[in-house]
Amino acid sequence: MKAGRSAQIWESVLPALTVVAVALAWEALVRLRGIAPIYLPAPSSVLVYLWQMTVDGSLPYNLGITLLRIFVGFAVAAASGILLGVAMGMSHTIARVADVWIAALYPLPKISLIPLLIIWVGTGEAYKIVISAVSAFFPVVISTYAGIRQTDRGLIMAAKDLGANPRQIQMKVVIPAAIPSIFAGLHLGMGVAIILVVAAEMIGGSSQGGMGWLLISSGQVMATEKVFASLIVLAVVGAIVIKLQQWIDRKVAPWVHHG
Amino acid sequence: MIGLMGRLLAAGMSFCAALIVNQPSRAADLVRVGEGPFITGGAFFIAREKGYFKKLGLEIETKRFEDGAFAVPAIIAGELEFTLMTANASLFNSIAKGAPLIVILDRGHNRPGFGYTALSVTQALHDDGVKSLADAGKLKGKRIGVGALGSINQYNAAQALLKAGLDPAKDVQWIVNVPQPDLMRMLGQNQVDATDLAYQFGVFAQNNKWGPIIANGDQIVPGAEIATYAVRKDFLAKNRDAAVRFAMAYLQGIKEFNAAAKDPGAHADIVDILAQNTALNKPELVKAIAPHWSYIADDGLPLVDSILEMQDFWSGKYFSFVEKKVPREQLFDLNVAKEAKARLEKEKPFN
Repeated sequence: MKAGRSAQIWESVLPALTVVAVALAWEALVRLRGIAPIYLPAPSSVLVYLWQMTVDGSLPYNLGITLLRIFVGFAVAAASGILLGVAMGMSHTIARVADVWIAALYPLPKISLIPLLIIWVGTGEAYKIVISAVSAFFPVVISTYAGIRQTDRGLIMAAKDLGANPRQIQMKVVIPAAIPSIFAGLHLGMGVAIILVVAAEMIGGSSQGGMGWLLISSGQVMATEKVFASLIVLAVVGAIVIKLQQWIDRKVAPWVHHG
Repeated sequence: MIGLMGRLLAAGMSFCAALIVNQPSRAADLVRVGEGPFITGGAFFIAREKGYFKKLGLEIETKRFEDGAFAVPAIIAGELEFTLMTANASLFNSIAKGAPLIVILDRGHNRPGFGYTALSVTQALHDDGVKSLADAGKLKGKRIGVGALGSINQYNAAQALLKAGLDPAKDVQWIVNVPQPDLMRMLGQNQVDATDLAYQFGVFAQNNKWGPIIANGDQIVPGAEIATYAVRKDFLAKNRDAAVRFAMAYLQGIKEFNAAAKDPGAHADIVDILAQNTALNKPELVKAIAPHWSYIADDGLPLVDSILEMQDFWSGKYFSFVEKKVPREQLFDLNVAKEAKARLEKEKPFN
């Protein structure tokens, strides 16, 4: 019992310990080998910049802007992707029509749309939100459709036998059964939305800020510590967002995680 | 018979001696150079295409970068020995943070009459009276597009604003991270109100009615440095002679480049070389923008005072892109150009 508990504690602190160990090894490497900051700044130096950028407001401001763009675009993608995915799952006609478009557009590298989007909607907020929505839309719609299609036939038959009408079957059986698959699509969609929004901020020629802008502008003047600080923040925030999604997933569909 | 044999032997020995004399004394030194498709690199292209580097025992391997900023990481990583280096904030930060580089040669500056950069405004602003540098005060609150933060273009535009009594950090909105051809189009679509570009793009925008030029770089900050050549310190320490020979060939290129900028019609060969090696592509375009090719210091020396003024500006009252200023001796090695000039005058390898 005691051994099991200490193993549990060890398992929960191990990820944090590896982070600390890597940071210490990195610091030691930089100091002992005398590596110039242009190649690799020491973590202690990155932390100093992290603190400075937090205090002067540049980090919270740019992070806030990026998150806003990600979430607005993601919300549009999630709503439209789930709706279309469910519609495709319910109607063969919609599925046949939409499938052609999805098959053609999904494999397109979304980053290649950036020059076109700049021409169509300019370099303002609309462009970043559109790129975020477009990139997140496809994983959501594909996963939702797959989830609906893969609903256990036995569950549907059982509902029918119990007297459920088609609408009740869809709302009470099919969609709940597709939730794990929908969440898998939302996870994927969020990941690509983060990547594309940051890339759009780097490429799009905007002075509206954002983490991508902070990264590229720090890189342009060779402020390597700021580049590392921005990357660390992006990585941590990305992990938090993904973990948050997993937590919501567990709350909404607890039966999937049993065992 | 003996006479015939003797003559044959003598002829053979002379042939062998001639072969030995004509053989290079050693294998050519390989020099990897980062360059871009810009006319400011003209002197280098001339020296390479006309075989001046080869003549001095240098084998040049050129790596092309669409933007000078991309060449800097490559030289830091040891993939290049020489690189173009625009006079921007990243130059100072790179060296301050331990990049093993030193600036040795000029690669073009805004000498009066030869300005390579141009400040353009939208047609609407021009119609509203922004027609020259004196009207730059009307840019208050406007969007100014530049390729990169801390770039020579941002420096020029900021200096124009300062001359008009504006605060370049607070009185305008900077639109950054946009390639110059895109900035040109954004000017036409009123997505930026003003932009500082290489002269050829300014002229192109003007000719397409996207936005007229209101001032050239040489009118804003006469004699401001645009770009330099930097060399890896370890290469310079081990192969100083090769670096000096590089500068000798380059100095010859400068001579022909500057002469052609003044009178391109009389230097068709140079114009062709520049057309083939730059984004301008066509000889008529190269000619059309002359003499706005920039001017390269005849002695090859980088413009030390101008570069240090830029460092002060980027770490001064308005911007803090440079946190730690680099002393002059850490930034420059002027002796390479000086030695090259002296050897060129003494050895006259290209006469």
